[in-house]
Amino acid sequence: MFHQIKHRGLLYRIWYYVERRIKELMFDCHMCGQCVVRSTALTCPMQCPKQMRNGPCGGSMDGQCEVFPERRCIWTQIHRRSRRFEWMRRKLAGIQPAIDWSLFGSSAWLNIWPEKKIALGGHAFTPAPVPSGNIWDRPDAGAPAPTADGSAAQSNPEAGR
Amino acid sequence: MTPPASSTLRRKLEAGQFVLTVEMVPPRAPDLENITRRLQKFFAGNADGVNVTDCASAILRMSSLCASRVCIDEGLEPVMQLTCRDRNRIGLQSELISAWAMGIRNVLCLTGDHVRFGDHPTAKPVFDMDSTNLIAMVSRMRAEGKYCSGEEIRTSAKSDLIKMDWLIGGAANPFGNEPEDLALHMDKKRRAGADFLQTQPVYDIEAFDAWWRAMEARGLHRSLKILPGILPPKGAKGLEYMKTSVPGMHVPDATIRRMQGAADAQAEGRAIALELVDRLLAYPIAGIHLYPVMWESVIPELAAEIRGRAAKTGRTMDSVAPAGT
Ligand code: SF4
Repeated sequence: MFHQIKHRGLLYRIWYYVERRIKELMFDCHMCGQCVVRSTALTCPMQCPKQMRNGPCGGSMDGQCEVFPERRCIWTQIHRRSRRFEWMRRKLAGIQPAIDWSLFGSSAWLNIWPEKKIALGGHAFTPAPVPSGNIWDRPDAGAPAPTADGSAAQSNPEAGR
Repeated sequence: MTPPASSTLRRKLEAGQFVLTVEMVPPRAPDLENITRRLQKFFAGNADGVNVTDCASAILRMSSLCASRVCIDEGLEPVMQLTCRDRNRIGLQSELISAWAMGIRNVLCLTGDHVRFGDHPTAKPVFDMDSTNLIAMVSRMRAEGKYCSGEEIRTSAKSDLIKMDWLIGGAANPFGNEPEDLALHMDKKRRAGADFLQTQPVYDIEAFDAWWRAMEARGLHRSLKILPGILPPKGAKGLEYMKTSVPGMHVPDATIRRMQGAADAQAEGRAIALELVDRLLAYPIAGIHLYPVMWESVIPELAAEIRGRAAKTGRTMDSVAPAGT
């Protein structure tokens, strides 16, 4: 991955270096240039070898990472940490948009201001909207509606035993 | 054969019918005949959907797009798997419009296995976006007729807006993490636009039950069509290998011991699979997703058994058209 810092001037580089040191100490930051740690229980999701920004991949097992089993899965950790505060849990429910790789290796702080490339939450100012819901949400979808007493919603009747 | 205008899998799911999807792994060589032969012999008449893998386990194979199109030619309904490992958003969308043009209507959006354990460990893993973002991107093509860039999908400036009406799938691993956390992630996938979920192979019903309850707590068992995975073990060794070496596999030791102690491993494997199916049918699942890993000859028999058992629980289903119709 080309780090955007490589084409910036001296002042920017100095600032970048300071910011990187601070955030590396705090979050093991990867300088993606669009910091979302506020939405991921103050844990940098870029530590994930697959750069998952929304949740664990299917290989995450018992807290360990699929790719480097000797490492912890960062998403298990994010979820664990998010239990500490209600606001963390709430923020975690938001869908993080796809990463803007043209910001990779730049300063997220300077991208917020004065460069105004991202908003405070770490996203581009006009992120691609996520369409809400699937086809079963559409009134014309023809999905079997749940019955009034919720019987369609009942799961395995014997599972509670 | 002309491709169908819309997904029959979708029609079946909409009607609340029980569906059986079966995974098909494309060959590791430029050999269409291999696909046709296997489709005719094992899949035709058995699978409501043929899940065509996209270089699963990061092992190089023929593309999912190509093999999916062969399915259509054979009169079968493909579910094209699409992973974020090998393509960035340009490649992904290019694959999607090609697939739509070729008559493919179902897409399963995956993050993909890391290259580290594949046959090309020195390749650059792409992971431009994750599975949730991919679902959102496909969903936007469907709902708004727009590419990821925001540009409208039209052949020319004056032609009509094209909204590709995909049936969008996602993958779920019910094991290995807190069920509630996993359900939170699945809820994101649903909001992004996923219509159905196919899960990793289930061997541990207790753990599956915990996951199901977490899904239920969010209403996701109703707002998503869930197809739990069944992988009939062919032998104890294979099962052990899967437990230790395949990412995301959760196999209880009891199942492995049972396979080790069996006189006829294959018969035991089938029995284990069908017992699991029986227990899963007690949940309001939309269908079953079958993984016939290295054991495609078991499909016809197992498919008939699964359908029979589903029918006994009062589920309705369509017969599946045999090959070449
Ligand atoms: S197991 Fe966790 S850290 Fe490892 S690749 Fe998957 S999501 Fe990322």
